[in-house]
Amino acid sequence: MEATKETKKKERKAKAPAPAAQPTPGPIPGETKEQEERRLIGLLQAAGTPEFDKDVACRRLGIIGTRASVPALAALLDDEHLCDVARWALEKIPDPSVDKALRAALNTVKGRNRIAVINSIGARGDREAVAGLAKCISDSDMEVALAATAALGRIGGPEAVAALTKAMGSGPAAVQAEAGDALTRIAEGMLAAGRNAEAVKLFDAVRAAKPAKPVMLAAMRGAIMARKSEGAALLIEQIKGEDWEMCDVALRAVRELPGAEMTKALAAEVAKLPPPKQVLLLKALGDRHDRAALPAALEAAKSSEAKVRAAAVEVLGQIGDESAAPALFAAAADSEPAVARVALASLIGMPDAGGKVNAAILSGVADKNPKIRAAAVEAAGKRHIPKAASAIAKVAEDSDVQVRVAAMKGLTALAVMQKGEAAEKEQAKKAALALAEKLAASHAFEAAEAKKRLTQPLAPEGFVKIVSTGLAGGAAKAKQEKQEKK
Amino acid sequence: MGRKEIRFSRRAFLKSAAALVAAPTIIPATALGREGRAAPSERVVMGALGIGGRGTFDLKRLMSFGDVQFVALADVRQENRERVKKIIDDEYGFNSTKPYIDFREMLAREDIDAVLIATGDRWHALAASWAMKAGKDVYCEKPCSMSIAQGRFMADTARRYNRVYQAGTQRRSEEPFVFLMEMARRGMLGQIKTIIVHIMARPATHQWFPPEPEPPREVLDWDLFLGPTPWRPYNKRFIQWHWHSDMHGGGIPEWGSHTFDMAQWAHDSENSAPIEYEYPHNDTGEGFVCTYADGVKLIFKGSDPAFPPGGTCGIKVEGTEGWAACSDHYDTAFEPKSLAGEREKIIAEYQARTGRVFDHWRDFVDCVKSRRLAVAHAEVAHRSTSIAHVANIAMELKRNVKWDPVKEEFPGDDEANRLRSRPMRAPWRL
Repeated sequence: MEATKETKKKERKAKAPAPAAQPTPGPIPGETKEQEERRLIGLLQAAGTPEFDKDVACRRLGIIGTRASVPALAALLDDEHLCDVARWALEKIPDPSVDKALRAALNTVKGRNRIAVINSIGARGDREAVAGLAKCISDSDMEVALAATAALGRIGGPEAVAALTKAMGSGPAAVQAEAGDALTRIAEGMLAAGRNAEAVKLFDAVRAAKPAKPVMLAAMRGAIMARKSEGAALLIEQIKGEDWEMCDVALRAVRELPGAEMTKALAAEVAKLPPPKQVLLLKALGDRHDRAALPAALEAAKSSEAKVRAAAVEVLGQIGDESAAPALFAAAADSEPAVARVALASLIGMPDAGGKVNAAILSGVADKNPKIRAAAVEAAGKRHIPKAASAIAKVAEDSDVQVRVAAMKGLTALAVMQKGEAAEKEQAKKAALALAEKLAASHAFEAAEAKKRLTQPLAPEGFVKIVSTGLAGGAAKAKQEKQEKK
Repeated sequence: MGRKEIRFSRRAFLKSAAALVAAPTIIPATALGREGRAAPSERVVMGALGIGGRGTFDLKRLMSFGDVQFVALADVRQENRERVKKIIDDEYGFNSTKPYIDFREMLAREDIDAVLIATGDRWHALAASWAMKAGKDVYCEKPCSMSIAQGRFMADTARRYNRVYQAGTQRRSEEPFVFLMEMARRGMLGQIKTIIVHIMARPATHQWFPPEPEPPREVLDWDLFLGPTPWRPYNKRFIQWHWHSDMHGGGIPEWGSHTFDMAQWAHDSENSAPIEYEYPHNDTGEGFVCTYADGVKLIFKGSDPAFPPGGTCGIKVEGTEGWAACSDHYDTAFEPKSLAGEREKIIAEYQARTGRVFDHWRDFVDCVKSRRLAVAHAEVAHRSTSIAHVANIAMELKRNVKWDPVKEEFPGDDEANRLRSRPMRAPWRL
């Protein structure tokens, strides 16, 4: 048996791929960094050093290398295989001799290696290389021209801007687009440095040149953001305009530009837009979490378009206060089920700092409309409104069965809440269990769920494996879809 | 459904001024395409890039939505191109999915709104950035980058080009994890002291294998396979790119992309990071300790049966008044147990406040349409992945490092700062 195992092991070993080359130029114990650098330089310059060893040496010199390593590394810039790993080291050595070596190589190395050198010059931000790179923009090799254009965008400065501006207006389309990208990159650097006026000027210059669409979008975004609050007019113009991609840019800016005045200015535009754009602007305003948009959302909640109503009701859940409760109740009774669903979610989740929202929601428990009563009792329970159990229990005998089901859900939530008075939780539990008994025949699933929550521990002992988180797995998705089909 | 209609994307539709008046606010049944698929005006047209096992899972999730339409794929491997083309063609009942070897050709198509990127890790930041520069929205598998510089560039590109980017850190859209995060952020566990997270305790290594004859480009484009990775001779063993340090960051980002992301979320530090990183004096990262500016410790644990008992990519948040933990395929566990009664309320409030759905792929598609930042957007993905990169740099240097999350640099540490970037093989560049 043992012999068989051993034989099999040998067979597996024989079939296994050849072992990998190991990094021989590794550190030697007791060696100083200076000694190590000298050894690695020697290794790079020695005839017959395997390529892999040189590769490993270059990587290590990227960490410890100094001016002393530059000649040995620069000598690899025209090596077909090792050029790029030499750049790993060269790009990182903080010495002007590297820039000098790269500028020299720009005029000597060819093909792909020349592109590599240009990329490294860009990465190091060498301003002395700008003139040389500017010449490369018109190189017959398109990859060289594109690399040079991109490198100028990384370097920046007035000379680079001048060269790129010229490139944006003439030459191959791909280079023009790259130049536009490079200029927006430089303008973003200005913006990050707080040089907004310069940034606005550059973003506007890019826009004026009418570059390729993605660059135009980037420039528009920059032009809006760099103007800060003064960008509102430009932003609104894009939302109103016929170019939906520009509208997309503006919608992101709506989420990012701060200030209540900005919110008000944007909110005033909602009603002036066609319904699809109303939906988009409302959602963007909701993400600002600024109550200055509340009047616009309340107005939109009355829209004749269901999608607009749904969006407005969602926003009310994000930024609403007690004044939003009537609108949410009306939406809970909406003939469009999607609107009613969002309304209930908003009633449950709407923030409440001083208890006024809770009071407004409790007022709905006695509403004449059963749909509103149902929404109010479910929301009151799920919001854990203090002392809500009595109010909800009053509708336990409601003539409408949906209200009774909602009351059971609300009471169940109150019974299991972490905080609250023990007596109230007990009252809620008893009332919920009683309802569950009564509803067991007509609403078996809901009643069983309520009983389960009320009689079983909510938190298991230790970790409990679940088939899927639900939410990531296809199994849960499939299950949900199956249920929906049923 | 003819090819012409299929390629009539949301983008093409929205470009039309007619959309202003013609776009229906509720799609009438008569406007739906075959088998309930959404009308072109509502449809997000996508391309798939680098689709292996995980990518196939993502692809199927996205294809399950009636308002998503895949029309193209790009992969350097013939076997993947053929397999994935069949999956897409079968889903839509046609034979016109266009396969590409070079993803740049696919990105040049104007009819494509968004791309799914599930290539090897070495391509993630670069392909995502190039796609966004071409005006495409991006769903990209994790980790979002192979270096701090790549991640910063990717996040800046997403912002500059106004693109929607969703990292494949799907726990952000899973209710058990959201419950945990909300408890931590609301102070329900008291003051947070420690966050323990899973990593895969296995390093990546650098090695070459004996040269083999390169396959024909049609079978495998080795040059494109390497992409930004430094050159090495072809050997088929590299096709399994995991654990080769030029192509994979090792076990710290492998799970840390997920678990650091959750730690950042729990600690409300999504635009920041820990500032101190203590090298654990081993090769795996097990026991690595990071410290946030407020003293909260982020501790890496390998596959420890005691934490949590089972599952992967777990997290445990310990506070002065309780703890909460969760891992893949395990429900949230916590103390005190009475917190269970708050779960429904917390989740309802979270969803009302954020408008998020508990489906990561759906969140992406919704955001493509609304232009809202996706739940795992580029900046949060970059920040959490940066923790992995900073830790890996400490592992490479075999010493502690300090990190400035504002300047995104190692203060006064030239050696560490040099490792923030990985120069790319030409012609690739950031």
